[in-house]
Amino acid sequence: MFACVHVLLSSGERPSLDRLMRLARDFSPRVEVVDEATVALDVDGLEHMWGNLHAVGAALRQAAIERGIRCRVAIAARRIVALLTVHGRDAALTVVESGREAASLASLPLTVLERVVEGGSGGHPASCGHWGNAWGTIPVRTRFGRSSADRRFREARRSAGRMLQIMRRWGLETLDDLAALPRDELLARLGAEGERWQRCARGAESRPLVPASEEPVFEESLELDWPIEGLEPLSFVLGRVLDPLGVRLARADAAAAVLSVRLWLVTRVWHVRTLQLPAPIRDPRVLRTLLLLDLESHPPPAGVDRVTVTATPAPTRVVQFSLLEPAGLSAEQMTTLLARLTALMGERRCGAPALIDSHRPGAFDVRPFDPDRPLAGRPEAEGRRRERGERERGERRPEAGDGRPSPIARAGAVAVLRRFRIPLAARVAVDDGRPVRVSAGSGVGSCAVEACAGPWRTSGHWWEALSAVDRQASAGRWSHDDWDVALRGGGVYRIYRDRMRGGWFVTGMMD
Amino acid sequence: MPDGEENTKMTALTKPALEDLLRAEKLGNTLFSDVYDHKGLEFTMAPTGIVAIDDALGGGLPRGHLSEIVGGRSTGRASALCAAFAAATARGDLVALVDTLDTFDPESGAAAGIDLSRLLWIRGRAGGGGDGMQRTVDRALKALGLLLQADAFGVVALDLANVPDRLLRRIPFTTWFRLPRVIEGRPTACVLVADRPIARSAGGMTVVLEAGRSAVRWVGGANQSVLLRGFDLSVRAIGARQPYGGRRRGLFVTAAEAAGLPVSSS
Repeated sequence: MFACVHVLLSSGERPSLDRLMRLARDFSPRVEVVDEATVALDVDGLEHMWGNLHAVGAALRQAAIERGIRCRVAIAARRIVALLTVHGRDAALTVVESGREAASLASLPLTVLERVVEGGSGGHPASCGHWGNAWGTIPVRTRFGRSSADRRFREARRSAGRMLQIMRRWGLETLDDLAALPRDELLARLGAEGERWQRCARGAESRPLVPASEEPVFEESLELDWPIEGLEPLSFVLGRVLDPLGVRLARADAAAAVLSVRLWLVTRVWHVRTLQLPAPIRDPRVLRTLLLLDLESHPPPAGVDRVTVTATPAPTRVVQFSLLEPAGLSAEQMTTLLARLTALMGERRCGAPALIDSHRPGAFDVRPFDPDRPLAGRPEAEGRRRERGERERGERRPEAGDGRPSPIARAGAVAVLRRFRIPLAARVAVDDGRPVRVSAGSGVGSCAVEACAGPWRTSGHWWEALSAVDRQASAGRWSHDDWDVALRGGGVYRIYRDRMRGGWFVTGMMD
Repeated sequence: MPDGEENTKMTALTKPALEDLLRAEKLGNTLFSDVYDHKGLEFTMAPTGIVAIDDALGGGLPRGHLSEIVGGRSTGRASALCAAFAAATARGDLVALVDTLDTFDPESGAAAGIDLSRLLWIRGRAGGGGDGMQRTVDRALKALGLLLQADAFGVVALDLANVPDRLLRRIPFTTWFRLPRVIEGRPTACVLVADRPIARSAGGMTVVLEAGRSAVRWVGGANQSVLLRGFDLSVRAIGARQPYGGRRRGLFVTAAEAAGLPVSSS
């Protein structure tokens, strides 16, 4: 038995295939997308659950109403009969008894066939393939012209229009008129397409239902007999949840790109953590370690009653290793290492430093460490070969192949500033506009200035409004007079005078 | 055969066997014989790119060993470390820095030639008082252990410069035996940066950086603006083969802002 559900749309309303599919899947796993507003589903056996087919249809309609879907429902023993009935009759629910298909279809207008068979033998393009991608196969017009699906759809529509025009010229009005024509004569005049129209009109067309593939949901859940607290018992529970999840991902040849764990707490609230993995991973042990490390930093505030883990699947990685370079860490190992370091040191305390486009002294950013990007033209093996050759030739300070000095030769020994993230407040004695004595904590001490260079004035964001946030140090606008000072007790420091707030600070040490 | 001659012959026969046994037990690096006989030099050293330091070290920082760079304030410790990082990242190696007091300046690092995308920066926390600082040091050591176990980095450094001595003395001495065992035979060069020598493995080296009096160089004069030009330093290396320190070598560290100025105008 088949049921067809057709959504009634008001003017300007767009059909929602997702909602319709969710409704249909609540009743049957075998659902075919006929078009954007119509689905056919296999309801064979459901009459045993609801008592009879009328009850099945009523339940279907009731569920649709509860979800705000206005629709018509038709149920018949054949898919084509249910489809023609749902398009041809105005009743909200029609159940065609078995053996009465021809009689039920007889009075329907011929135009209903145009809506049903216009997609040709393949049906509507939306019905082909995965329903989740159905919108991708629906005819669209792009800036490069019409897509192939669009062309096929238009061609089928023109063909159906021509067929309908011929039949009208013959004086046919209803499906019964078409069904009554002699089959051989019709085949001789209209070909196989005409004969297929007649089979549809007789309700004899027997194309099987082609169910849309269901989007796999990679979710595992475990209800606990009693609440658990602490990470150690939770790690065992996570292992039991993640093992089957890993098996399911492996069967689908997929891996988790995003991992979400939802913990239902005894306080009746969800504790949700989501991990965005840098590479698709499906090893349950790695996933468990990553979840535990994250939960170590963000522990649930109460006992856990239920554990649910959801993985967003992604295609697995294909990695080609090189024989000439040493094996690096796999993505799983690197992710685990970074997660361990983050759990140890804190959020945003581990990563790759990056310069940002700012003149603010000490401005930087910390970005996720992504070592996969190789240096262009300087793989490790090549670099090592070059160094060995240079050593053998007695050369130092190598030159890059294009004539530019290599980073080693260009940089040489360059003095580096050790920057104090929180500048040290200092007392500075000034004579003739130049600092002559500096006193500060953290090992700087109180020393006379042996020599100094400066001042260099830097300022920024003075054009912006001074809001309450900007009043805080190291935020918003700034204006400094920088000095390099060599102290008699040893050490060269960079100090500055804050021209906006007053006072002297030690910002770093040259080392 | 006289007893003395027999003993000499036995010694000659058993010494190679004993050395082979020590190498098999991974104790061969304690031998005074050249441990690099069986490996290519390029796979056992991580050059820093600074001629004076590489000469003193005999090629670079030894891989698979714990070495250290020590010196006082403004003696070029961070400069030497950044040069080693720059050379390693130019070779294509990954490098990692455990920055205990969070004093690394990315801008200076980029000026020194480090490819920042290949540097894993582990930031500790400055300040926090006695207990807070102790926790910071403990975490830094744990982070160093994780990085060394990962076996993915060419150079891994732990910056303990400016950490108070009383905190360094609280570190269990077994730490300095455990860490070298982790990287033994691996291609990672582990470097400690500190104010004074703390620890090195049997095959590791200590790079001592020192600044004499009037070591700071300036350019400019009375009628023109003065600019920090750089530092005159000396470097020597101490290791198992030169336990009293090698020859001192001169090293000039240029201030980044004065990189294009002539050296003579000081």
